[in-house]
Amino acid sequence: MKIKKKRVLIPFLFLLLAVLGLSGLALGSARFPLDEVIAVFTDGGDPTVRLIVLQLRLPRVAGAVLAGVGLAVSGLLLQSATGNYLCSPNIIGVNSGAGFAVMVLLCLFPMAFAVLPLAAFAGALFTTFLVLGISVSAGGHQSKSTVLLAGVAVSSLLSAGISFLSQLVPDALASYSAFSIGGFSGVQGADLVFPAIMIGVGTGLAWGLAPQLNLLCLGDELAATLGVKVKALRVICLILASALCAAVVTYAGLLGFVGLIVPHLARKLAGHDLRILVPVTALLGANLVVLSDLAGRTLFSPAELPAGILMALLGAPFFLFILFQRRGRYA
Amino acid sequence: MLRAQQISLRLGSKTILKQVDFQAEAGQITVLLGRNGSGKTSLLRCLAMTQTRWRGQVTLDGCSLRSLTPQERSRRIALLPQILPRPPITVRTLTGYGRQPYLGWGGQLSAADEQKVQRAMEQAEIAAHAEDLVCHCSGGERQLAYFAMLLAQDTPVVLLDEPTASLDMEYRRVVYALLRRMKAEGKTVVLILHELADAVELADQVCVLDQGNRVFTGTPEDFLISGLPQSVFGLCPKQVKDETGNEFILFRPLNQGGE
Repeated sequence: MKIKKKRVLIPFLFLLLAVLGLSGLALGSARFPLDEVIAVFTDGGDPTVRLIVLQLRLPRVAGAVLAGVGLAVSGLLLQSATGNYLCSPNIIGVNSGAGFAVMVLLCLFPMAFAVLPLAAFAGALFTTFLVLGISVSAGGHQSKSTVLLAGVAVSSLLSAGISFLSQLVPDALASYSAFSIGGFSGVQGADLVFPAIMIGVGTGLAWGLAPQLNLLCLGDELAATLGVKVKALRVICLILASALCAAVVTYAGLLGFVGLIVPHLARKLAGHDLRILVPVTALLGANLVVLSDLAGRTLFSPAELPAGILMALLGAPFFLFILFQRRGRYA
Repeated sequence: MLRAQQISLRLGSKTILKQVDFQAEAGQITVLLGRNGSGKTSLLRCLAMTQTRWRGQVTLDGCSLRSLTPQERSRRIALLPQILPRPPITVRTLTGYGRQPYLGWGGQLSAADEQKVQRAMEQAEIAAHAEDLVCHCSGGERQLAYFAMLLAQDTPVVLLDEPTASLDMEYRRVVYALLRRMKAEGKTVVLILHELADAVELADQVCVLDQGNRVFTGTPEDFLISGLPQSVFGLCPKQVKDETGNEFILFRPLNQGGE
């Protein structure tokens, strides 16, 4: 498929996102007709509907859109930079880093809920730099594979740290478990300002790097002879991916598998050219997370299933599917 | 002129290159010869600046390659490694990647770039497979696809690491014709070959490496009488004529009837 034909996907995904977004505003424990929801944005509408839509559901849908974009683009960057399609943000320790920082904070200051997002962000970024530092000093020119190994090792260590702290301070576990599942319940507009800026800038930069990232599929040596600063590009991608994911972690907790699934689905639809793949992945991620959140709060209504659980239920089988589909290639 | 001076390289405890001097002229084909592990690929990587931690200097027409940015270098020197990946992209896209050093922010090919890509694929005789995925191409087709990328990159210096390894005679003929064409266009062509007969037929200059040392630089004719085919490669050259009267060089192992 030519790139011009693939670009048709972008307006289609935008349209789908608009439909899902409107559904997200209309559906929930209280259901409103679409015209009432649209009226909220045009002439103010019913005050009760307006309150629920603008104060509760709009931040939630916007949070899901941002989370989908941030996590999916983060996964795409990691997979492209490492050349490993099984790589995702939690592999390089972003989730465990954020989780460990939150757990430490909850143990030391059990009431410090206000600074949890900041701790998560700092933990995620710090872990990425730690993984990067280890891989560069241990791997030298082969840091592409050592970054994954270092990520797995650091993640295991931090997960063990989380378990250890939960044994020492059982009270912190309840708050941590809500954070670790991930979801958009209780997200407010003010929570989204910083992540929105971060995700907007990060996605734009990822799109700008796409032509250079495309060349990494030729291997480091050929990419270098075509003018790519391979090591610098890889480090920038890792930091960008980590920042995107950390921005989501601050308000949505540890949403797993989006960064793994969505880039694969996007490649099936749009091919391997990152110039088109970045926007398609971003939009597909937004659609998938909005859909998961919508399904989570409507399928079992009045009970609510956090989006993180639904993503994991979808993601784990998908991960195994990829493994079986690619058997033999990683021998 | 591509010139390397005092190139030394150590990897771990092993010395790969020992103060090697090397030069290759524009409009000539220079063939690097040597046994496995003699340092040929490492020297080629040093010339392309893709090898790290080496000492010495490489200049192109008097300009140090270290002083150039990666993009400036990529407009002057192209490298075709021995092991070529199989990316899931079309031959046309791969060829288009050769234009990357000339593209601006966004990486969009202009109409002129598209024409150069098409011409490169035609010259490399791979245009018929333009829309095929590289990962689905045969070994020979893949080699020609990367050659098309090399032609699209259009650099004055072209470095190739065993470009005919595992190719049949038909594909070799195409590759050698492409190399001669590059030479005729005034490019500096440096390649590694293992087939001595092809090397002496193709080369204007032969450079022999042995255990990290440069042991010979000269014309193919001088190489044949240097004694190196026997001492380094264990092969004996012999001039023979076929039934049509064409003369060519045959190399036979010393222990199988060679002198």
